[in-house]
Amino acid sequence: MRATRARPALVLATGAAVLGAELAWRAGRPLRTMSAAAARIAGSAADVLVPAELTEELAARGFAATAATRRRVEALVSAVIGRTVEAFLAATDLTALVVEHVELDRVAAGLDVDGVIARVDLDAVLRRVDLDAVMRRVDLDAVATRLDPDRVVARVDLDAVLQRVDLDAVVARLDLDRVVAGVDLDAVVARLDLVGLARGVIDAIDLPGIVRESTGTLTSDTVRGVRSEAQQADEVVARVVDRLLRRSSTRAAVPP
Amino acid sequence: MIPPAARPRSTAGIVSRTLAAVTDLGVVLVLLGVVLLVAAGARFVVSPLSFHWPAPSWPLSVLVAGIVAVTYLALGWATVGRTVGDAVLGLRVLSRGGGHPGWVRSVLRAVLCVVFPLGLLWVLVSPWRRSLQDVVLRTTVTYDWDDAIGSPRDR
Repeated sequence: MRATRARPALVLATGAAVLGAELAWRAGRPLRTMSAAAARIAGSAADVLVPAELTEELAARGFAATAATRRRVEALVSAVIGRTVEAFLAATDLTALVVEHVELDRVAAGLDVDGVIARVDLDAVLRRVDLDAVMRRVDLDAVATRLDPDRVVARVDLDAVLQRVDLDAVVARLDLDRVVAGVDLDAVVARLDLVGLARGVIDAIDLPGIVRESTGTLTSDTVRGVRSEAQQADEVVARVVDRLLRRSSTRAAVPP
Repeated sequence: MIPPAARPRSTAGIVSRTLAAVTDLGVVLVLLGVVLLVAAGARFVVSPLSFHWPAPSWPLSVLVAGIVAVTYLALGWATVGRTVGDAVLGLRVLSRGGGHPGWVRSVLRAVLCVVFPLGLLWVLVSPWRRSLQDVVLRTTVTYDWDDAIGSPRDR
């Protein structure tokens, strides 16, 4: 495969340039060593031979020139990098690149969703939401038709709900007068068979029999008591009068 | 059990007869109320526009009360031998021979009872428990009831 494929000229040229640079770097090593040594010697000699004022002057000029050069190089590098990035972005479909080369599942798995949610200010979010507009867009009829009330009710613990309800308070807040005013009592009464009901009750308790029996008993007992007491009083009074008049008490019978 | 004094042909004493008289007085008062209502109703029917409640004078009231009382007592004694008061106390008015007193005697007895009710007090001193009316009209008042309350004789 290596023998059958032709190399582009640019690649070959690049390889040659790299090889030449490496050779030049290796060949220049003794020269660099010598120049560094010469510089150190020159520096030491300058410290000895050159006057202090001149040294200061030279150092200041050197620092200034170095700083200016650094600024120019940095501006140049910055411009080159900016242009390069722009050209790269223009020529590249980053989205496709990400989709193709980034494992989004691993990225998502590494996300701390809870932490993200904890940092969200839901109140602020809700304040920005127009719930009325949302509700207008909701088709409640469609939602209701999809609901299974039986399942919903089956999941509700009605006992627990009732225990939490303060029925006394609910009843206290009821306006029973208004409730009763809303009831059509005439219609209710009209639907009742009052005559049949009363007749059934009377038949069941035999009211005439009870009245007859109680009245008869009361009358006979009362009358008997009154008569008996009156006759005994008659006898007592008669005995007293007989005693006062000093006569015998043999006068009750009707004379022949 | 029949009390000894309740046996037939025993004359009634002052207490029983007074209670019967008081009961009859109540009946007469009720009858007077009915008479007053009837009179008011008649007046309303005759002249409804000028209607006002009847306010009879005392003489007229006494006269009407006497007539009502005499009529009531006479009717009771002449028909069944007893008034309502007599029936409650188990008494019966008889002639001296033990028979029915009759219309004339009943009316006269009623008049005497209404005019001079204090004649009843003579029962206390009479050997045979007779009132002045009984002495004058030869009547007597006997116990006439037994233990069988509600029997035809008591009705």
